[in-house]
Amino acid sequence: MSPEDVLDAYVNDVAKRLPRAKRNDVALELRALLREELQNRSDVAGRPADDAMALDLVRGFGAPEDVAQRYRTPSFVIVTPTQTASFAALAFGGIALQWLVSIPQSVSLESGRVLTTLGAWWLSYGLGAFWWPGFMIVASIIAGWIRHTWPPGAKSWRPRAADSDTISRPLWAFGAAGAACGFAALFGSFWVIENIAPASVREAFEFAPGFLPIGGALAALLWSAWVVLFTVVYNEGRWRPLTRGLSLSSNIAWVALLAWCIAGAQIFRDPDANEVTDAALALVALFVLIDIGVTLHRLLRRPQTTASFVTAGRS
Amino acid sequence: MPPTPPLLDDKLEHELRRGVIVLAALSQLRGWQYGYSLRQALAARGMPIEEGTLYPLLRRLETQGLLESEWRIEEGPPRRYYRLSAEGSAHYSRLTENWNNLVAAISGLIAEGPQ
Repeated sequence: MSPEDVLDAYVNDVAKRLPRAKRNDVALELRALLREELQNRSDVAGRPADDAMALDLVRGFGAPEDVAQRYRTPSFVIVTPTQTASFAALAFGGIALQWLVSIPQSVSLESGRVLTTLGAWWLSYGLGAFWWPGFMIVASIIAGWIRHTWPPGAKSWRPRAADSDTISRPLWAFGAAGAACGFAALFGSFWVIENIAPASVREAFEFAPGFLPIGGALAALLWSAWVVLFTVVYNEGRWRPLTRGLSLSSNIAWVALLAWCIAGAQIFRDPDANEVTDAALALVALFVLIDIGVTLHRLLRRPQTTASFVTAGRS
Repeated sequence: MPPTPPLLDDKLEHELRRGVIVLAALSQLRGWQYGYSLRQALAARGMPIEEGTLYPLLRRLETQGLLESEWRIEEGPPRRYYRLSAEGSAHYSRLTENWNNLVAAISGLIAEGPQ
């Protein structure tokens, strides 16, 4: 390969990565410039240019992808550097979650059927789970274009709250009223089933023996703890590390209780009523899990800017 | 204090120079220059810039409206010549003023040390 061939191959590699409108123009200029650079090297070395010299020149110039990138004016970014880690975690996490849910339902552990069902799972739910990163990329492209077209700018920033531990008492009072309505509806429905509903409904929603002494007692205990915690935080007007920790522990206990109700315990005598209730409880458990996740995420992301952190850092 | 690794020195110098490459290039483009001659001129004045950095930069500055360009066929191969556009000249004046203020401020900081 002659030095000219090396330069031509390099220029072609750069040019094909450029927008069509300026591809030929840049290629012509780049080729001419590289020839002059090569001639200069040849003059300095005191010998004719060879392919090794040309290769050294273009390698020093940069990888064709990088050089093409330098010729382009900055365009919009799909995923910013600060979002890359969370984007990757969300993409892989979404796939893993779909696999975890679908594998137990689709793959049989029966002898001789494992590979067959695993193959069928891979061709359905396994590969199908990749819709999630695809969806994330499309959403990120749209978000990136919007950011590029209407950049937010530093002046658009507004402080959310000086202290994220402070609660809004009117909002909490509203939430308490909603919770009270929920309790009233729950216990009212028990009363309606017991006193007004037809016998068939009453039979369907009759508690299984042994559930109320354990499940009912634990639920009452956790509800009571929640009311106490709510009242303390409301009175203090803010969260403290202790109340945050208690709230998180209470939520974890709720998830454990709900999981026990769904997986282990029989709540009602009627199997159909149990099935419907289990589905509803699974939904509640999902919401509580999301709340736990969001709380943990906020706690971990929060910068430690207290004096104790500085003291600890020095020691 | 451990000696500063040469690699880190190179990196810091690279960061320092990267900020002034545009100003250095614009300073030599008050008259027509093509890529290679501009690189030679800058190197001769103590400001060598890698070709892989300088040549694409000229295109980007042109796209941003700071430079104007034209093809010329004189002796040798066709060459694309660049010079400051009217808009580029205005930007260059402001950049120069900012640079002079910056140099004065940094010189003061270095000479006087911490307060």
